[in-house]
Formats: sequence, structure tokens, C-alpha cells
Amino acid sequence: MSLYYSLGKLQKETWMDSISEKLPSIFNIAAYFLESNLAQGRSEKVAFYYQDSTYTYAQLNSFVRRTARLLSDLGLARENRIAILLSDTPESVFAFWGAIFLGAVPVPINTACTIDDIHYILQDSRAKVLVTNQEWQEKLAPIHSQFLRKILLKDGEQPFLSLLTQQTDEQLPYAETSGDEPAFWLYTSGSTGKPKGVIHNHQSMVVCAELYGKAKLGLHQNDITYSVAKIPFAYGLGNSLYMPIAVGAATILSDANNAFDIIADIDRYRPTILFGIPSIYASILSVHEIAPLNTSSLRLCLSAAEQLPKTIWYKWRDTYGIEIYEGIGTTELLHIFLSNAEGECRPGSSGRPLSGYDVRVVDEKGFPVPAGEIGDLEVSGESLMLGYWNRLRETRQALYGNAMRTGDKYLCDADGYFWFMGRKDDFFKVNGMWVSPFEVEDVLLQHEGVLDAAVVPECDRGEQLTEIIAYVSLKPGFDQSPDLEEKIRQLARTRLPHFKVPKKINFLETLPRTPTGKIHRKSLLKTH
Amino acid sequence: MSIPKTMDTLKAILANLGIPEESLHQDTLLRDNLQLDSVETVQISLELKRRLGVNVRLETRRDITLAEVCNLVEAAMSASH
Repeated sequence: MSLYYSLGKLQKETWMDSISEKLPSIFNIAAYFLESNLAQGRSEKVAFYYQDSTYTYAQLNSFVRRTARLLSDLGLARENRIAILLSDTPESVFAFWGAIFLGAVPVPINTACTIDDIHYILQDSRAKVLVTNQEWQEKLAPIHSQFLRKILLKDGEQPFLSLLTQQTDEQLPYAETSGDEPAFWLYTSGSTGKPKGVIHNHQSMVVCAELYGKAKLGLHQNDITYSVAKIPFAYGLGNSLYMPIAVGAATILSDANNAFDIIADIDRYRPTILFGIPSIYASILSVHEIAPLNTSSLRLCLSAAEQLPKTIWYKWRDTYGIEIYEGIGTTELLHIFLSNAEGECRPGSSGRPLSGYDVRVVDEKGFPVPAGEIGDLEVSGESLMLGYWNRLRETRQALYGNAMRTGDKYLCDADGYFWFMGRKDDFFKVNGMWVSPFEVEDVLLQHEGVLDAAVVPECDRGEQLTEIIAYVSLKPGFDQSPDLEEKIRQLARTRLPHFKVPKKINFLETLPRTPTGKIHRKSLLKTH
Repeated sequence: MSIPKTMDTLKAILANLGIPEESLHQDTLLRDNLQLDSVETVQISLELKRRLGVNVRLETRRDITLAEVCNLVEAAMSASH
């Protein structure tokens, strides 16, 4: 019996109570999505656009099955990991769904990761197969992973797509997985500096597609989504991969890098939904006179990944006449759980809980704090991860029964809106990506003149996008000067991704420290 | 404005982004040689607008040299006159 028909009854019911309880005991999310679309007559409908090509749902189905067969022939078995290190392309989509179809576990890797982090992820995940391109293969060489058996390349003598074309279209049965078992991993920044593998099961994507995609956004088959965040980010994975496929919509796979690329893409492909991040909204606004955005196709503009400053929200509405619905999600809960919505936006807030998620602000003992008081954000919902791979202590610290504390400080006002108040740890986000101050400080300390360094985020009380500001004290014999500041920044540029380079370096005689010797970052934020 | 003067302006903008002047030449590529990120390419465009009053869209899908940026600036200038 087809998976889709076994779920036919479930399609007509509301998902409000428990989604997981309604899933059949055998549930393969890749097969479910593919069969649902074909059964509903969407074979010839466009699943995604990529450069000058379009791929229909029938083609997607065929390529996914061929990928599963190819991977199976290569010896990839159920529960084996397969790493995918590519920008958003047809190959990354086929590899992701093909692996899940086979019961294997895809691990998309963010192409903005450092080489060290990618080596770490390949080792940590014990990926047996890596799908990438020649450029990355050269950059990573030599790869010392005793687990890696095969590298498939997008380009070169045997491109991945040509290997798929050589496969027969013979039906390969999907792996009879359960909704409770791991389907894929996503890596997220770890507090120790090394990325952590977040394990999600087959049901997670259905949960987010139902609660956010369908219920909150009203996604439907005529939508075309465009995501600034790429597939290896939890936000991008939902925006481009499983939310559109859950309703038979189309998505645009783009290699856009800056605001001009995105403006050109939106003009060309005419998406109905823009999944943005604050820095891109700010950037598109900043170039409005040079390249005005054609918003005529857009029905929704969403934002997540970091706090959207109020000033940008108002400027966007005043310039384009569209409100941005801001939300927050985490990799561990897979997608958005707090969101603003049409007609009830509170700019600067993360909005209110989605139906299906229980979101609270709690004190250290886990008791809810009264409205208006700051506490820890605790979220429970059915899209919660199984845990972090091979990180028992961090998993135990994060999970409380079916809830998780995100590490964010929040307050909930009397109307039920949630407001971000900072982090419990020293991490912060720039361009939607986590920055550890320790990593930046380590690089600054490599300059011969730097004695001590501290890095803090500054955002003018939430009015502006977060910028990285460094405070340094100098060794004897070195004097502060604009030239020295520039030299230190140049060093940082050679050793860090550019978004992590401090925008400004302030010189201090000595840096404030706590009695235990740690840098007192909060006092730097307050006094300067 | 002449091409050499445009190049001087462009080099000044890049120097302000923290790029050492000695690494800037006619055939220097923005992405491959200077590793400019998405924010920095937009900053260059905004600075060209501020300093020279020209609208130059620096898309990133094709890597371009400093000389090519100057050509874009010149083309934009003559189009607006």
C-alpha cells in the first residue's frame, strides 16, 4: 500500500493534537512527500527552479529514486551518514531526499564553515559518502577520515547528475523507517567551539510544515518560495526543501550571495514568499536607489535567524508597503516556533507561539516567571531534536523532558508577545550566523602588539544590526593609532570569515575582568 | 571622470575596507583575490554612489576585476549624462 494512501485519512484531520501519534508505524518522510505530490496530480508541476532549468515533481521523484539506487549500489546502508557539501543545487536536493528514501542519514554542511570545521564534521558524523565538487575536494585535500569510502562530485569526469542519468528508472522500494528514527542531521555551533550534530527524525519535517508552513503562512501549491538562508541552515532547509514540497509548491535554488544577486533573482523568478534575514533586508534597503526591488510578486516577507531591528521593519514597510513577519526558531526545534503574523505585528518582538508549540519564560528552577520579567526561553513541541550526536552532557543540559531551553533570555509581555533580551552565554549572531567571541579574541591575540582582547556585540539597544566591536589593550612599546587598528583588522581578515572581523577596535589600558579572571563583557557593553 | 581617477577612488574605497593597498591592481579579482564577502561588495557599490553619484550593481555570480568595476562606473556615468 502506498504511503500516501495510508495517510489519506490523516490529511483531512486537523494536526492540532499530536502529529506524531497520527503517523503510521512505517513512515519515510521522503517517500511520503514524493508520493503525496504524485498522487495529487502534481507530476508536471514545477518543484524547483535552478538557473535556466526547471525540475517537475515527476523529475524530482525519478532523480530521488535514482539517487537512492546509486547510493545503495555504492554500499551506503540504512543509518549510514552521507555528507553533502554543496551550495543549493539540484544535486544537493537529490542527495538529501535520496538518502532519506534509502533510510540513510544526510548531513548537509554549510559552505560558510571553515575547512577545520568541515574536517571535524566529516570525522564526527562518520560520513561514509561525501557529495561535493572539485573545488571543495581540492580545498579539503587530504581528507583524513577513516570512515569515508566514496566522494561523489557535482562536476569533473563523472558528474553526479550523469551517474544518476545512467541509473534505470526501475522502482526501488523506500526504506521502511519509522517516524521516530533519525532522518537527517544538521550541524550547529557548539559552545566548546566545535559544531554539534543535531539529530532529527522523520516526523520533524511534517510537524514544521504543518504548524508553520501550512497553518501560519498558508503555504499552497501556487506559491514559489525564495530563501536567503541556504539548505544546511535549519531555516533554509524548511524554506527551500520540505515546506514547499509538503504542499506541492515550487522553490528557487539560488547561488545568490549579496543584495544585488537577490534583487536580480526576485525580478527574474518572481517568488511569492521571501524568507529573508535581517542583514539582507537592511542591505536591500540600503541599495534601494541603485537597484529598487521589484516586490510585485511577493505576498509574504519573513525574517528569522537573528533579531530584526525595529528601524528596518518600519523602513521596509514604508518603502515597499509590506510588513515583515518576524519569527524565531532553532536548529534543535528545526524551524520557527514564535512568530508575528498578519495584522498583529509587534516590530522588535519575536511574536507569539505557533499553535502546537508550548513556549514559556522560566526561572532557573523551571518555574514560569510573571509577564514582563526576564527569564530563560523554554520550548516544547513535536519537532524537537532527538539529541546532539555523541554529546550526552550537552544533550542533557538542553533537554527537559519534551522541552528545551534555547539559551536565550526572553520576556513575555501581558499580551503574550515574546521579546529577545540577550543570550545566557557569550554567543551572538551576525548575518544570521553564530559568532563566538573567543574565536575572534584568539585571532586578535595573535597580533604581536595585542596583550589582551575582548569582543562584544553592539546593536544600539536593538535599533541597529549587530556589529562586532573589539576592545584591546596593548603590550609595552605599542601605541594606539588608526594605523595599528587597521593592521590588527587586516590580520583578522586573513584568519576569519569577513563577517567575524570587528568593525571597530577600541583601545583600553586594561580590560575589565571578573574576580575569577574572566573578561567582564557586560561592563564593556554598558560603559562604552 | 577618467579611468585612472575612477581607479583611485575605487582603491581608496577598498583601502577603507581594510585591504592593503599593495594588493590592489588592475586585474585583481574582487572575490578570488580579495575574498570580498557579500556585505563588502554592497559597501563598494554604496561608496561609488556616495562619492561619484553612480548606480553600479556589483552582482557576485561573476567575479570581476578592478578594471572591470571602473568600466562599469564609466558606463554608468555616460548613461546618466
